[in-house]
Formats: sequence, structure tokens, C-alpha cells
Amino acid sequence: MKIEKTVDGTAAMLSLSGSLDAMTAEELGAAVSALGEVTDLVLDLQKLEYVSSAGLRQFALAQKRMAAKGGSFSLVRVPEFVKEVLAMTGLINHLEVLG
Amino acid sequence: MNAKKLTFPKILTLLLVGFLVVGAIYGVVRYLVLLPEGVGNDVATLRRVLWEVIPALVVLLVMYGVALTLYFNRIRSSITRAARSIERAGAEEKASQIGGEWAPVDSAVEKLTKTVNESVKSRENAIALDARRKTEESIARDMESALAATSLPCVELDFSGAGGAERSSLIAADLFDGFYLGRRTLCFMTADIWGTGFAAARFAARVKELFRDAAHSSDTLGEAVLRLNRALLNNNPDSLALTGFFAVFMPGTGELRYVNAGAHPPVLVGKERTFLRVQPGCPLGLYEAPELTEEYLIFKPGRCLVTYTNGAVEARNGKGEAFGYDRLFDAVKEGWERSLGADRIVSAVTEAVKGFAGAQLSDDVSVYALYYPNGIQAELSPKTSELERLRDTILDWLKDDPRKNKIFLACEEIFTNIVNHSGANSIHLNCQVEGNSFVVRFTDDGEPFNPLQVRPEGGYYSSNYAEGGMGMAIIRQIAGEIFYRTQENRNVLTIRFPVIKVN
Repeated sequence: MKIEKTVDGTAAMLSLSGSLDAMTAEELGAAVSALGEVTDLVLDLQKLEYVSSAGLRQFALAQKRMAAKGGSFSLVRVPEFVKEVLAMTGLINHLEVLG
Repeated sequence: MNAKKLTFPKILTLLLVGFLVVGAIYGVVRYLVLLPEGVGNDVATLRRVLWEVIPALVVLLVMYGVALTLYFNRIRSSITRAARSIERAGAEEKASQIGGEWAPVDSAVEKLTKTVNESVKSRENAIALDARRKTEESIARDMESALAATSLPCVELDFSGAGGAERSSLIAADLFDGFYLGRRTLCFMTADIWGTGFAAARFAARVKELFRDAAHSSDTLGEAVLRLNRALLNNNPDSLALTGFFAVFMPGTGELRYVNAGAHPPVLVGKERTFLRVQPGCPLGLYEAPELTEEYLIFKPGRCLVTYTNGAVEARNGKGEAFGYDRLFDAVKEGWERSLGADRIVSAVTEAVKGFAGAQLSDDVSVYALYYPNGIQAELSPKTSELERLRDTILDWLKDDPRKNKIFLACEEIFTNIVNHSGANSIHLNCQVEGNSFVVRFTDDGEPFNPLQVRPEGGYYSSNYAEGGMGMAIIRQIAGEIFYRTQENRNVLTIRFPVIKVN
């Protein structure tokens, strides 16, 4: 998996590509931890080909982290496969999914 | 200049005009003379003059007409005479083949005319024959394609059967067929008709129908083939015969029963490349009691069987080389490795033959493939990094199945569950097709752990969803059925993914 980071003050966008599975999920966790003062995080998933529950767990953790700072967390450009997995777990109702 | 030449009709006409002018002058003078004599009024005078002049003019016109008629008749008869004499002379010359200096030319022209006429006639005949042949061919082709269309591919999850044909310029009427004999029992055949043209195509249609009937109403395959032979002998006006291979596959027991009636031995490709052992067998449609043997084999998964007509191995390229068995094995192997399904193997073979022989095949090719893939096994270490190997194994096994990513997703969830919770030292993976399902089985030597009992407090998406439980939600929604049992101190988790048939 590859993560591209764009930070603008307290807002940041991480663009993920490849597979977000049990092997790579920690990379996302580390990238979110490294964001420091960022309170508003957007994940661009356009190039994400695969996600498993390990990846979803990182989404949920990131959301918790941003919420604790009083910020926001959202997913944009979510591919069909990822949406299906989000729906299977019900997580889709708890995350902000923008397209 | 000829126009100025005075001919008889011209002189005659001049004379007539002269007389008319003289008559007219006479009439005028006579009128003028009579008028002052007080013969009567003007009209009476004119009438008297006309009575004197008109009869003379009528006589004159009649004489003119007679003279002209006589003149032209004389000319016409002389022309007719001349023409007759020419005609007579021509006929005489031909009859006596008068020589002279033009004789060689005449004879050459005559020969040439004769040759041209003959060649035109033979060309006309050829065109008529060709047209008849084309009509016959198109009817026979229609029959062939209609026949092929009645054989649908038999697709089960754990095996499949499909046939295909490449047609040559001849109507060689090779045929294949595959159909179910009851649930999940596949009966299939290929046959090569000894003959070509419309009669052969009609014979092929009968063979197909008769064999289906015989197969459905016989207890054994051998009996069905003998029944077909008898039916062909009873009604065979064109004295045609066939070589063929007939088989029944029962995946439940793994039995393959087959009868060879003089066909080339089918090829078996999987790990090995070999011929199916067959008795030569007698062609059908020739003898009352042909020597045929019903043979038997336990057909283990992990290979395919391809039966074909001789047009495949005997197809020749531009250099005159035959396609041969090696190329046949290569083509089958390529199809076998390329993807799931008998139809891919059939098209690999027909494409290879066509590619080898070029545009036009000299004989028909009919192929039928039985595809029976193996399950796969793998030993995995209980480490997350083994996910990569798990992914390669599953995706390679499922090849182009549209749900492969989801099935892998469920497998990943199970694998990570075992890695995180069971404390196992080794994980055994077994994937196979059973009936209409992909079946994946994980066996591990860890602590007894039933993942089906994992139910996080408050549901999967409660406040503690980050703690786990989502994996099981995913597995449950992708898998059709999940079973857990312990066997010899091992956890055995079996997941069945029902196949959603595309089409």
C-alpha cells in the first residue's frame, strides 16, 4: 500500500492506493499518528483496491482520534468494493462517506 | 454523284410532272376560252373543263403506277436470284469443303469456334454444378450449425464439459455432443462421419439424435453404443459409417466409462501428458456385431480429457507438416493452464489448429473437453506476512471468478483470527470445489477456538468496534455456510462459498 500525504494547517488529506489489509493496516495507523496537530482528516480512497477489517479498524481509530481533538474525519472517492465492505460491517453508517 | 444520275423511275416521274403541267395549262386555257363563249356560269364552265382534264390525269396516274411497280419488281427478283445463288454457292462450298488458299484459315476458325462453344458449354455446366453444390453446402452447413447449437456446455462447479468445431471447405460432418444423463452425470462424444456432403450432414444429425435416445434408454454406455450401431444399420440408405469416442462421467464416484469405436485415443492433460488407454474398437454402421469394449477408469481430479476427430491431428500447414499429437498436447496444456473451464480448452485447441493450418482446413475438426480441476493445499505459518501467500493461492485457484476478491477477504479474516487468537504453530489450507460451492478449509493446531462464538458486546459497530468482531461480520456475509469442529486436537473451520453463476 502507498500513502500520499497533503497537510494544510490543521487539515490533511491521505491518499491511499493498493491493499489495506492486516499486513498494511499498521502503516495507516502510523501515518495518522504522525499527523500531530491535524484535526480535520480526509482519506482519499480512489486508488484503494482492497480493504479488510484490519483496514476498517484503522478508519474507526482515526475517526476516534480526530473526534477527541474536536475535529472531523471523512472518506472521499470510495470505490465500490470498499463501500460494500463498509456496508457488511455496518461501519458505513458511522463514518462520514463523501462520494 | 449518283443522285444526279437519271434512273428509270426519275424519268417516269419527270414525264408525269410534265403531263400534269401540260394538263393544267390546257385546263386553264380551255377555261379562259370557254368562259367568253357564254357556256353558262363560272361553275358550270369549271365543271366542264375538269370533266375533260381529270379522266386524262387519272389514266396517266394509273399508267405511272403500273410502270413503277413493274420496274421495282424486276429489280427485286434479280436481287433475290442473286442472293439465292450466293446461298447455294456457300452451301456447295461447305459441302465439298472447297480448299483454296483460305482453307487453313477456315479450318482454324472452325476449330476455334468449336473449342469456344465447347468451353462455354462446359463452363455453363460447371456454374450450374457449382450453384447446386453451394446450395447443398449451405443447407448442410445450416444443419451442422443447428446440430452444434443443440449441444450446450455442461458447467458444474467441480467439472465442466464443452465441445467445439472448426469447419473445413468440405462438409465432412464431424460432430460432438455433450448432455446430462441425470443430475451431474455427463455423457459426451465426438464422431467422424466417413463421407462428405449433404448425405453426411444428414447422417451426423441422425447419429446425434439416435445416440441421445440410446444413452437415455440404456443401462450401460456399451449398450447405448450398440443400440446406436443397430439403428444405423437398420436405416442407412447412403451406406455411411463413423468412427467415434463415447463416454460417461460420474463425478460423484469419479468414474469415467468409455467406448472407443475406431477413434484416435483422447488425451489426458494435468500434471501428466498422456493418452487415455483405449481399445481400438470397430467403427459403427458397418457390422451387426462390432467388436467394442466398455472401459472404465477412476478419473481423478486435477486433469482434463480431450477427445477429438482426426481433422485435428491431421491438419496440415503450408509446408505440408501435420499438426500432430505434440502440438495437440501443447494446445490442451495451454488451455488447461489458462483458466477455469472446458470451453477454454476447446477454444485453445481449435484456435491452435486453425492458426497452424492457415485460412482453410482440409478436414473438419470436432473437439470435446472434460475439465476436472483439483483442489489445492498449502501450509501457512501463523504470521501476518503469510497473507501474501494466502492471497496468491486463493486468487490463483479462483482465477477469473468475479467474486475472488470477496472470497479472499473472508479468508483473510479467518486467517488473521487464527493468527491473533489461537496461538497455532501451523495452519493448513485446503481449497476445493464441492458440488456447487468453493470450499475453503482451515486446520490449525492452536488452542480450541471457535470464531463463530465471537460476539462483541453491543454488536459489531458499537463503540468498541475498533476492538474486533468486524471480521466475523464480513465472513458471515460473504460465506454461504461456516462449520467449526475439532478433530484430533485441531481446529477445523470450513467455509462454503456458493457460486453465483454469471450469465
